[in-house]
Amino acid sequence: MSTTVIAGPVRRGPVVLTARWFLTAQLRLARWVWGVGVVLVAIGVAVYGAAAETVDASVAQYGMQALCWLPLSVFIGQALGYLPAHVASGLTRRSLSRGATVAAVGTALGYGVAFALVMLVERTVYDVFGWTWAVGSDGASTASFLVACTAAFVLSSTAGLLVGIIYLRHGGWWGTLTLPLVVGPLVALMVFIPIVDDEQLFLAAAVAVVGAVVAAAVYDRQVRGATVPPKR
Amino acid sequence: MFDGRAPLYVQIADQIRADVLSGALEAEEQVMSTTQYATTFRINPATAAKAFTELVDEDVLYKRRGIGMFVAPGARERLLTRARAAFFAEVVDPVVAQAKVLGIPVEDVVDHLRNGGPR
Amino acid sequence: MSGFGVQVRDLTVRYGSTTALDAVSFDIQPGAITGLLGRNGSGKTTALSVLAAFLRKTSGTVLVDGEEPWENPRVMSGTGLVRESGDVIAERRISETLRMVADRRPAYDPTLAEKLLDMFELDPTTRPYKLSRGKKSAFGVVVGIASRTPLTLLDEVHLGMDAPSRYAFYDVLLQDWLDHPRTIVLSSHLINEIERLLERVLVLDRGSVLVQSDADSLRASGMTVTGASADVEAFVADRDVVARQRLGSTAQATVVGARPDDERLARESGLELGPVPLQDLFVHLTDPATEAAR
Repeated sequence: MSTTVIAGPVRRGPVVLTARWFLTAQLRLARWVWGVGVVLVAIGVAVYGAAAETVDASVAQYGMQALCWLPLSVFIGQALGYLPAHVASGLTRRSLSRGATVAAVGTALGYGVAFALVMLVERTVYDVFGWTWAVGSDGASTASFLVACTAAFVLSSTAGLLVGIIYLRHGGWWGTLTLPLVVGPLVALMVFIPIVDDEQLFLAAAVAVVGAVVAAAVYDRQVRGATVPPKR
Repeated sequence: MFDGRAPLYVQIADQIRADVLSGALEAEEQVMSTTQYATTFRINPATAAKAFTELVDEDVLYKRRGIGMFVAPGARERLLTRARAAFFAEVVDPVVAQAKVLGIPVEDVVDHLRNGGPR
Repeated sequence: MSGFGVQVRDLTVRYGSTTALDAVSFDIQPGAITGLLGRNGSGKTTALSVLAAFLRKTSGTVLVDGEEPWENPRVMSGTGLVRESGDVIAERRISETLRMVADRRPAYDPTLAEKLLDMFELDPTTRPYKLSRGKKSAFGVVVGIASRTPLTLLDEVHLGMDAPSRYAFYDVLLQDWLDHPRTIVLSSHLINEIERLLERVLVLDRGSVLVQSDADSLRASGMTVTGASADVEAFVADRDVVARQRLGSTAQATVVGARPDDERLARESGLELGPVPLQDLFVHLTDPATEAAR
C-alpha cells in the first residue's frame, strides 16, 4: 500500500498552467477594455481638439483611474472563484499562489505597456495636429508617470487577489473590512500620480511596489491554508 | 438476472450448483471468469470470486492457475448426494410438519405420493 | 494493482465547535471499488475532502499511497474528488474545462471523455451554468471517470440524474475500472443501486466508523428470522438484533451475525430465515434507536 504508483510529474509546470488560466481570462477581458478604452480616448481627443482653444495635455492619461480599478475587481473575482477548480484538478495551493501572482504582475505590466503604447499613438496624433502633448504635472516626466501608473496597476491586481481570498476564507465581514485597507492606498495613488512631480512619482511607485509585495505575501499565506468550501 | 433478495454471491453459487446438477455444466468444463461475470451481469468481480471460493471449498469447482475455474470431476455426484440427504430434512420434513398442522393423516400423504403426485 | 491505497488512523476533523470526524481509523483497499455509506452528517464528505486535500485534518494520520495528501503534488495529482456536479468553473465551456483537465491529469483519456459526453448527451460547447442539475452531475461524472486518477472519489455524483443515466454511469464506471484498474470510492445514498458494484463497504455514522468489511460478507451477515413470536425470541436471544416486527402471533426479527448451524436450527424450530438487502441492513445499523438498544 505504500508503493508509489505515479512516478512522473504533471505534464506542464503547474505554476505555468495556473498563470495561463488566469491570463487567458485577463486577455479576454482586456480585448474589451482596451478596445472600448481606445475608442473613448479617440472620441475624447476629437472632442478636446474641436472644443478647446489650446490642446496641451494627454487625454489618455485620464484612463489611468479606470485602469487602476480594473485589475482589482477582476482579480477579486478570480481569487474567489478559481480555488475549488484548481484544487479539484489536482494542483497544490502553492502553485495557485505562485501562478496567480505571476499572472497578476504580468497583467499589470501588460496594462502598463499597453498604456504606454496608447500614449505613444496619442502623442503621434498630437504631433500631426501640432498640439502640445504632456502627462501628469509640470514637474513630471512621461517615463516616471508611466512607471508610477504601472506600479499602481501591480498594487491593484495583487490587492485584488488578497481581497478575494479574504472573502473566500473569512466571509463578507472581513472582506469588506480589508477593502478600505487596500483601496485606500490605491485611491491615494490615483489622486496623487497626476499631480505630483518626478521625485514624488518615484516615491509613489516605491510605495505601490512595497504594497504589492505585502499584498502578495499575505495572499500567499491565506491561500496556503484555504479550505475548499463545502458544496451546499 | 439476479434479483435483490439473497446476496449475489449466494445466487451465483446456487446457479452454478444447479447447472452442475442439471448437467448444463459438465465435469472439467470451464465456468465464466470473474471478469466475464462482471461484464455480463454488471457486478463486481469480487462477488463472483467469493462464489467460486465457496464452490472450491465444496469441491464443486477447482482452479487451474492462469486459465480459470473448472467443474471438478465428481462434482455432480457430490452435489446429488448432498441434495438427496438434504431432501428429507429440508423438503419432506416440512411437509410432514405442515400435514400435522392441518390435521392430514400421514397415510393420505403417502397415498397421494404413491399415485404420482403432480404430473 | 494500480490504484492508491489509503490508511487513516485516528483522524479527527473539527470545524469550530463541530467534530465532523472523531478519531476514525479505516483503510481503503488499493484497486478495489469501495462503497462509502452513511447518513447525512455522518462525516463521509469530510473524509473524502481530507483525502483529496480539500480540507486539512485537525489531527491523526492520513496516508494516501504512503504519504500525507495535504499540499502534496504527487498525491494530489493522482487523487480526484468529484462532489456532486464537480468543482468546475460554471461559466467556462465544457470543452475548455476538459482541456484544463487534460493539462493537469496525467492519465486523462480524451477519447473516453468524448464517448462519455456522447453518452450523457452533453454538448461540449455549452457552459455548465446553463445545464440542468442532472446534466451538471453527468459532466462531473465525465471528469471523474475520464481523469483515470489512481484514487477516484465520487461523492453523491448521481444527484439529479435520471435512472437511465445513473445505470449508464454504473455500467461505464465498472467497465472502465475493469479495463483500467484503480481505487474507487463511491459515496451514495442509493445503496440498492450501487450494491452490486462494490467489493468493500465502509459505513460512517456520526463521525465514527460503524462497519468496515467486504460487501458480500456484510450482506450475508444480516438475516430475518420469521415465525411464532416465542420461537423467534428464543432463537435471537443471544444475538445482535437490529429490528423487530410483529403481526399478531407472528414475529420477524432482523439480526446481524449469521452462524453455521442457523439453517438447521431454524428448521427445527419451525422458523424461516431470509436475506436482508444491504440498504435495509444499513438503515437498521444506523438507526439511533438501534444503537441505543445494542
